[in-house]
Amino acid sequence: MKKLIAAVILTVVSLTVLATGLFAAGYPTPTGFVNDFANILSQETKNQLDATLTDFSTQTGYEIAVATLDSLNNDTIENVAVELFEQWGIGKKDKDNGILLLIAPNERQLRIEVGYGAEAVLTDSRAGNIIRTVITPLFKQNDYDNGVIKGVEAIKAVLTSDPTAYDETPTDTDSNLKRSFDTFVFVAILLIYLSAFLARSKRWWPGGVLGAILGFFAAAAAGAVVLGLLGLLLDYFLSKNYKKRKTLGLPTSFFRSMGGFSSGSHSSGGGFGGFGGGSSGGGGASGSW
Amino acid sequence: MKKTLLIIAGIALVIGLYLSSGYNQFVTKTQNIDGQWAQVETQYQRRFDLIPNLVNSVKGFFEQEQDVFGAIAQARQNYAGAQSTDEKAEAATQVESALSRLLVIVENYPQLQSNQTVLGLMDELAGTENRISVERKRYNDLVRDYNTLVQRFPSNIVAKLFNFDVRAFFEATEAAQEAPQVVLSTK
Repeated sequence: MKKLIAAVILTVVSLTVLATGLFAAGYPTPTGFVNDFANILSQETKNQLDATLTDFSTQTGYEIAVATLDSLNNDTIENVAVELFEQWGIGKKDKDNGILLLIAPNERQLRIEVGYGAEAVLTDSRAGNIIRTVITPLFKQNDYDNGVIKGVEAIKAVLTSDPTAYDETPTDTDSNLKRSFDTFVFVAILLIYLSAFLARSKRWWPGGVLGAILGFFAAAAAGAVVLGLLGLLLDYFLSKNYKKRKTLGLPTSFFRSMGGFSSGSHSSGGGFGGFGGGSSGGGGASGSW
Repeated sequence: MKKTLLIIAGIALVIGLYLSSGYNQFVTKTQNIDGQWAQVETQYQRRFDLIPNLVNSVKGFFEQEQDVFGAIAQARQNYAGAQSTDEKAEAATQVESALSRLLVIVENYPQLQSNQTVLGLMDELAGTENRISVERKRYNDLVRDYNTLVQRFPSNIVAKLFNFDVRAFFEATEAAQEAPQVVLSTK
């Protein structure tokens, strides 16, 4: 137990030392898909969003990052977004399919920065429309949680299911409502049908199969925790190595210290291994509220 | 005797290796700069493709601002006729200043702020302006990197030997330093 606490402390210390050393002039390193540096989101929202965005990334390859910053340091939000995007490398390297939703609550500005590879689908006008019609109305009521959640949902919808959902036609709230009602009805019917099928079927095992499938996903989540702990342990030794090298006056850069830094990023955020190295060229839209 | 020959051969080899790697470095950097310039031009082209749409969609709203449209049309023509990189850059900054005037005008017309087509086009234009400034900054970063190498010892010897000259930065005119701010509030 003592060792574990020591490991945790060492991880934090070595990460801070490395992070400040590597990115002295830059932005903080990402800890997951959601990086709420300005503390405007509830823990529940963060967890939910992080899970959704992790899934979305594994299913579609698109990496959507959410970041809130305390201050823009008198720079424009466009510049900050490009720099942050560049430093984090959001999106897959060969596809540049990252998206950054950047929010500066104190300046009351936000931006959707779109990677090169996603520009054709999430065009500037679609991004601008999402900001105007989905996000800022909620931000004006200080509802940051829902603003971000709904905004991310809209971005996902444009990227996958319905690219023209946010084209420059006046958004009809009725049809939006209808759409979500349709989904609800569909899911309800599916559930009823499924349970009816399970109840009626003479076989006793399909329920078990269903349970097994659901259990598989639950186990995957548990696996993430176990792997996270293993990563922590690994980092403990690497950090020790880092410390040793430091006291010996040996170079402690990423390549020479056997990757002390990259292994550190496993343990923070339960399996988040950083973004894929994509880049953006200033596409997207900004807004204020 | 044999020893001196070996030493001379060794020195020649080292110098040869240095020259060839230095030369390759310059070639790579030149290629990167040219590639980045192509990116800048792509974004300019994108802007020119967008302008007619925006102009047509807002033209009807204000007949009294005809001189802005005249200026934009003139600048576009200049750009189309420009041959060298410098001429293109100059024509592009003319477009930039005419456009920022148009954007200011559009902001002053509340009825345009509720026009979905105009809003969409303004988003596209603001995005393009931002892309231009991003690609231009990256172009200048590459040029700076290259110029440093051209002027620093010992790589300047290689540069002189193979005629790699200092490249010009792409300076935007002072008025066009910043992309026109398009703030579309939905009050």
